[in-house]
Amino acid sequence: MHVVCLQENLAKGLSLVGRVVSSRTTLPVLSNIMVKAEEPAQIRLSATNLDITVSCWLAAKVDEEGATTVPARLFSEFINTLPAEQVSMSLSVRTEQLHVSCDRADANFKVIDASEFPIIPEAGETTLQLAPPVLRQMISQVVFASSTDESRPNLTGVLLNAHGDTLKMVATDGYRLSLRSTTLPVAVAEPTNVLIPARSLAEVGRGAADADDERMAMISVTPNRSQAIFQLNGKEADGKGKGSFHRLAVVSQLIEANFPKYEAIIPKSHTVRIQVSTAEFLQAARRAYLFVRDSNNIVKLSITPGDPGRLHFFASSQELGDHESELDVVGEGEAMEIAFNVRFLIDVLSVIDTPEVALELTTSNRPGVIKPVGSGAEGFLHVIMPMNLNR
Amino acid sequence: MTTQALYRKYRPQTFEEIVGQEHVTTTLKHALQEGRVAHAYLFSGPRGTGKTSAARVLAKAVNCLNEDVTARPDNSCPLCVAVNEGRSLDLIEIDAASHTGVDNIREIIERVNLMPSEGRYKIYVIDEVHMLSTSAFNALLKTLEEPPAHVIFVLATTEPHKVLPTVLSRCQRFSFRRIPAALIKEQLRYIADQEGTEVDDAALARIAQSVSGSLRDAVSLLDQLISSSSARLTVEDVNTFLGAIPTEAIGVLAEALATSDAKTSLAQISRLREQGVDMQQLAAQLVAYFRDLLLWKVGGEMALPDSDAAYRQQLSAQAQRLSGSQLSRLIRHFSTIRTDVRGGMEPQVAMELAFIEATTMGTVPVTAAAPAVSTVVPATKKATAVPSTRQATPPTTPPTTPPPRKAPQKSPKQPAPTAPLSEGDTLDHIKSNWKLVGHALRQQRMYRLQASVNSSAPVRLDAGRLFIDFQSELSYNLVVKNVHEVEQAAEQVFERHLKIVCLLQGQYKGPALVGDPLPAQPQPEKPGNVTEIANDPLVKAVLAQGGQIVSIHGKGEERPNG
Amino acid sequence: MEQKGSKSTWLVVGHDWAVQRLQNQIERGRLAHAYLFTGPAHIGKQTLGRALAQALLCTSDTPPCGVCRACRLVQQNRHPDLWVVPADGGILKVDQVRAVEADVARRPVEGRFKLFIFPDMHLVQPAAANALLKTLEEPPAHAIFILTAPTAAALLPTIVSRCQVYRLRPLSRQVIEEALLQWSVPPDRASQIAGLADGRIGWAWQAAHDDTLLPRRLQQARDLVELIYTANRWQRLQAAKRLAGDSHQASQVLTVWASVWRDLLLLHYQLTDRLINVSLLDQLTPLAEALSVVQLRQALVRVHRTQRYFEEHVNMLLALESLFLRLPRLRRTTF
Repeated sequence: MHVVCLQENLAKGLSLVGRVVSSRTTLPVLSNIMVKAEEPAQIRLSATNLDITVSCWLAAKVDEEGATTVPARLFSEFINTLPAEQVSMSLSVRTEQLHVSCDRADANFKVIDASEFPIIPEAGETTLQLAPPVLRQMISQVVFASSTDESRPNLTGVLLNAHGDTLKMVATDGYRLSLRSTTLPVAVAEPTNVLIPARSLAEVGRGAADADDERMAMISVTPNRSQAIFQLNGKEADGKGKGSFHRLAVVSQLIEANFPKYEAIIPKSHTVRIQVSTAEFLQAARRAYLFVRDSNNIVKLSITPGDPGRLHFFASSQELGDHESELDVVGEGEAMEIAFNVRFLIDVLSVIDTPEVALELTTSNRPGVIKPVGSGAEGFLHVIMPMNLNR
Repeated sequence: MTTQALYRKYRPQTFEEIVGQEHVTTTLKHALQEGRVAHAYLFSGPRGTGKTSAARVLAKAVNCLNEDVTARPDNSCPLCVAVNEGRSLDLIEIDAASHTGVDNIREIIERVNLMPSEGRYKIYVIDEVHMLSTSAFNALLKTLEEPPAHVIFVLATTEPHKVLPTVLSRCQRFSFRRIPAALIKEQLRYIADQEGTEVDDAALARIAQSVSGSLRDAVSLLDQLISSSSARLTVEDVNTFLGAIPTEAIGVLAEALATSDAKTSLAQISRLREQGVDMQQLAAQLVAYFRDLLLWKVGGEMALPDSDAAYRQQLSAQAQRLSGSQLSRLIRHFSTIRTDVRGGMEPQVAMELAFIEATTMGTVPVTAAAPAVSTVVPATKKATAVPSTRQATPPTTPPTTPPPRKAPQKSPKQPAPTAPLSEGDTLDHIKSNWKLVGHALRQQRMYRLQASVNSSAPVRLDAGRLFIDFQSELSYNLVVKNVHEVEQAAEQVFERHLKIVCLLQGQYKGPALVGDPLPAQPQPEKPGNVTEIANDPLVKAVLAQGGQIVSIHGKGEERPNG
Repeated sequence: MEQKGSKSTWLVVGHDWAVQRLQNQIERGRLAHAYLFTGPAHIGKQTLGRALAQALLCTSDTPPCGVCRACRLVQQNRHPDLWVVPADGGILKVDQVRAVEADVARRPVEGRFKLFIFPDMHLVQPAAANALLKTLEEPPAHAIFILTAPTAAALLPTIVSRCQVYRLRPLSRQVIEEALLQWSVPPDRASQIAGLADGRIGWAWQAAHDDTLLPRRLQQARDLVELIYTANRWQRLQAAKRLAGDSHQASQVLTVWASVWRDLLLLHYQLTDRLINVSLLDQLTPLAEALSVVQLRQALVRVHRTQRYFEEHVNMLLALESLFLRLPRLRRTTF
């Protein structure tokens, strides 16, 4: 293998894939990054922790094809210290070392043979397309609602469901539920229903932040339904020397478990509905949180519908004191009181980008629903279980 | 590729299907029908007796959407189905064994006030709850005191005595019992028929017998057996699968014990090992066999109505060869192998040692199984006095020479004098040679232990156990801690393995003894009670100065001079 | 060894019946969720487990081929779909099992299966056993567990009942000898190693690949004999001190000594055909005659107890000194 590329590009690629390097000590190759020179003119960098594999392709001059793996941390840190010049890499099979030179710096890295690196599929079937900004937003609106309790694996994942021209992502930890749907530019031929670890999706979201928003992201599932693959395109080099890449692929192992029948959890109707400024609601929730974050996280809401109606916050803690505040709202229905875990409110309000949200309720012990107002076909709703007031 | 396991397929879905726990299920069912649901239950009982299954049925019943209360759980409404498919949001199962920390419990408690997502109740099943740390228990306690109306806790445990009393008192308790083998067999028959598998009755009986009351284990076993055999399942298949050793092989070993034939037993163990026999299984079967022999001695055929003719014949032939007390000693003896193996000893070696010990410890008459006196012994005997068990007739009189004096030697030291114990010997023999044990310890430079042993008095010899009594707690503690060394020294002296039981001022303080109970007070042969005397303030003072009670005389008796 | 009738190559010596059964199950698609391989140390339990993993992950047409990339990675414990979870510091810990628990539901990376091998199941913490029980209860179809332990009795009955149990037997001398010959060990050496191996193919393999092991072992056994004839306390203490300097060697020596004492016991009962240290027969016979059963038994127990002390990290020098001083003494006879 012999290949030459730009230091900025290499550094960028390493920063994209380096996040998933694993610490599973029994498989030494997992703490390495695979470097693969591919004809006609690109390098592929890959890192995996077996749950998530991130690969990045960047422009290079390939003199000789080949692949190897180098220790991720040392290699990345070394490349970061190099000047923005051409970096040349060549593999010596005899010494099992990767020789790297740039400007007047030289280094030899011990390698592990590329054949030890897990074989990760690059593409699957049932491909669907999505604009990267939408993908990013969908992910951010659902991942936080999933569970981190590994003993309930079905709740640690996000359900990805594509049917016709609708794509849905759903996550729940049993106490709240996020459902985001969107209309696909191209309908899928076959329905897809897979469970993706929330952590992997979060990584996809991070990767999507660096992607070219103008070009579609591709999502596919491998034929044996073991992996979901997210492919994103890099931005063209903007000439400011920040580094660029051709393509990014995030491959996630799928979870094999039964996801809850989430439709049953979503309330079909409501008796009270108020509309309120998202920013004000979030601000009030954060203020209340200060008082209860060390105890029970309970905030009591008193709702007086009307035009204008009122939304009253009350939070108290035995140790710290108490706090009340009030917002103007527009709403209909009976007055009522309800208590929520204020963290849950903050979590959901933080990912809504419309100026106003709606809160829909039935009784104080039935779930509430929070929806953005005026987001059109891009449907998002969040179900949130109330806290028991009369114990 | 793999198919659904039978114990999952036949997991009970209703209260009626839970086998052998009617006292629990009927009570629960009635309470539900009358709307009296408790907020905290404690299900205790051995593994595999239905605790988790009952908790799941309860979870379905309280949330079931069926209008008819008596039909709950109906296993067809969406909420029941969600539980059965393992996707319910309102049933939360926590394994306390692997989530012992207070943080795990805090998380539950923080969320306990959140309303259920689908049903009327959120059910938390905390399995192996006794494994929670104390702080986790305490954190849970507050919630158990005033659980929110929508929450039901089911705490399950195999060891209820380890659950804090404050937790117990807040729970409605149900104890699950081991399921009788007959019921297990019935259930296995039902499953086998449902699966369309041909299985012999005896095979099912054998499975049911082997699982000590755990239906889940029984069904798992059946599952394994069905999937690994192609023809009709027989009792032999089950025996092979369980690694059971043929009773004839056990008989050979028992015979070797009866005749103190170490050689035959070692050869037999070797053979069994080559056949892949599990030595712990062998130990278990030996114990069971001795127990059967004991039962046979007491009750004859009546005692073992289920056994087959060949086995009975074998028992009746061997029952006369071993006495009742020998058998009970053997049972004790072979029950300890497990501990040796846990301690890291190779199972086969542990078994071999157990047999050598059993054939030489006087469980059975000491015979001349050993070969004649070797040529080496006479040549070296005079110089080194090699302890010898070879002599068919051990000296009956204790050595008259006092133990050699200490003084570190450069030349090879004389081994400790011995006073082998023969079958007819009594406590007196041990008493008069007791100092030799101390001497043997001294030779191994265990001076403190020697002093302590010297301050003790043998008071009773019974079933291979030697009771020794201490006046000083210090000495008592030291010997209790090093009892193994003392036993070895005693074995060196008496050439018999004696289990040493320490008494402090005539009282037994150690863990419960296996086997025949200890008489509360081993009686000293002289009038007056050692303990009593030792408690006399005057005597106490003397003892505290290092004095010893040598003998006790009645008040009227004349005191010896001096 | 090569299986007759197919080109599959199970890299396993002996245990033909077990290989045959597993191969059948694979061919008929009737795999169990969990297997338990039991038997004495070094007889090939883990090797069989790894061979099963190869059979399930191999990418050739006749799995296991033993040579493809997947088989090779399995052989080195480096296959991404193979988890080997050995005891950590003598204990299989709950954290290790929980790490597995988190991974079980994830689909395999490369193949159709995910294999979890627990080679020290008998060293499991109770809490870890319980956690594993939950995982074994309802594993997804792609997960296969392979547990190994010296005996099933050391495990929770509930775990055992969920496993298909394979009781592996010590290998016969001939099987080991044949294997050694196949590994190009000269015949006389092969025969000697096979005798000392006592059914433990793992040890035979080591002895075959380490030329120093056999002479070292013989010397270690001779050292014991010498020590018994060494009455001088000071010399015995010096010997203990020498050995205590090398903990690895010390525990090897104790293993050898345990086998010598066992041989002496067997010799005492004239069970000569079951001896392990056959080459020392001349030296051992007078010892077996001169020492009493009680002494022999005590010596064996003491060696074992010292081995346990090592595991419990008791001061090694003290443990060895105490052992050396208490070993029986004999004066060498001169005829």
